[in-house]
Amino acid sequence: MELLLIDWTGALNVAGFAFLMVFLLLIFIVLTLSISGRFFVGLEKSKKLKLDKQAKAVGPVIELAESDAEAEVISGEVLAAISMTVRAHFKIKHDVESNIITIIKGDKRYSPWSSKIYGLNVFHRN
Amino acid sequence: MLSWGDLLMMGVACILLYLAIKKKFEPLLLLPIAFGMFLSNIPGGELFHPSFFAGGTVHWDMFSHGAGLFDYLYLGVKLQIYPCLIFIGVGAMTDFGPMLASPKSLLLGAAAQLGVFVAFFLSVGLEFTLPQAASIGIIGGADGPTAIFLTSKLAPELLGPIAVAAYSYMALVPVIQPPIMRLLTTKKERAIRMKQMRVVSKREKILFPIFATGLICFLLPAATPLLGSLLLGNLMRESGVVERLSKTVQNELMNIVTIFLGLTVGATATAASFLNLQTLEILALGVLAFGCGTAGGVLLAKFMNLFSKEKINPLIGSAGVSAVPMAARVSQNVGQEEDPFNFLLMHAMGPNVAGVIGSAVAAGLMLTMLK
Repeated sequence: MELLLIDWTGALNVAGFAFLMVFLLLIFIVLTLSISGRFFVGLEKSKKLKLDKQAKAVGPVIELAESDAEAEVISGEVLAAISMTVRAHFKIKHDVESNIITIIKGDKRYSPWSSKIYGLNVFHRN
Repeated sequence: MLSWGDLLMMGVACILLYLAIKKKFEPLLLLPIAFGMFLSNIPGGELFHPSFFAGGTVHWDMFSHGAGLFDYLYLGVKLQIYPCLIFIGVGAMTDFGPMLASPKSLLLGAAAQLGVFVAFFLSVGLEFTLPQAASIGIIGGADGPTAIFLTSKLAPELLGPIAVAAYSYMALVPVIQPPIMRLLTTKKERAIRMKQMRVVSKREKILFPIFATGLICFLLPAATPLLGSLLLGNLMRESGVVERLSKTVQNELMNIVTIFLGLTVGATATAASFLNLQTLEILALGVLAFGCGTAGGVLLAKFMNLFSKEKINPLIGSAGVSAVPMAARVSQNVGQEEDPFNFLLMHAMGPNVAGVIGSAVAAGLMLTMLK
């Protein structure tokens, strides 16, 4: 019986209206972002076309500028993959070693620390 | 005098400390909440006086009669300062790129607010008042600062249990969501691979917070404190010219405010406000809100697939519950159970950050209608 005393209509009105308003507001934002998204994509395309034309007219110097412009729109995931590959390349790679063993006779340079050795190597000849 | 209620609350605080430290349940907030609860239930501590804030207003004249540390710090909650400052930090840590690349994800963020309104409706059935039901329902938005913002305005007497429920369940997202996601989707749907998203330019990312603030706050002024703060933080991040400020709001400011917010919210959980049947009902309704929010996002994604040429993986719909980035990671993990080479994370981030906007809009609407 207590359930009948509850203001179900008021609750339904608040819940229903608020949920509907959340959807309507966000649908409005979705439409606006979709339109502005197309505008920005079109803007990037026209920038690229302009740079393409300049590249064709001028040559290699402008090509570099074009790749710079392209670099502005490289996504984070691509950059992460490139940096990881470069790091792996320099970290894992090491010098190729030759299999030739060379024995080089080294100079015996005198020093006070090795003076005893010189004394031992003196052969007395009769 | 130490009462059984005080002892029991200290025991509850110890359980929450265990969950925060050992099980790592949202420790950044649960630890200060638990310790604030522990401190305020020590008799004679005089750190917090609920009577200073009785009736939903601040009794400024009582502050001259022995206000404690937490009374002063609680003013940041009561005057809605802390949630807004935290949202500035959240905005500075959020990348709206995936959402801008796929604006449809905003709809999934909206659908995930279903949990808010289902919990609201059921709360009314459990004889909570409409403002209390709205505060309980917003737990389903999975957004701590929004829950605290709305509850401190509409139902400050329920702030303790609602804050504990909100942050505990946010930590349980990886446990609550996957069974619901598997129940509502087929293997074939879970294995859907989505098209690569377009690249979003820097200009778009800078213009979005300015435009969104003007549009949403103009249409829904009550959401201005939260959404304005969120988008201010985002603008600081995306503009790239205030790196120092962006780093400060993401780190030092958020950490300081988190400490004050956690301690004072925990301090409101006294025996009288926490140890009653209402708290159990709030905890049960919180789980239901989360579950319904997850289901809402998944079901709308399935519905959109009926009309859309480019299929959406329904698992990303569950990420509309705005526990960023945990809910997006859950979508990625469940998707990879079917196809290990299916990377849904960035696709799920769209609805995930859209859910933050959706829950703030839902809170603003309920504040407008029920204040």
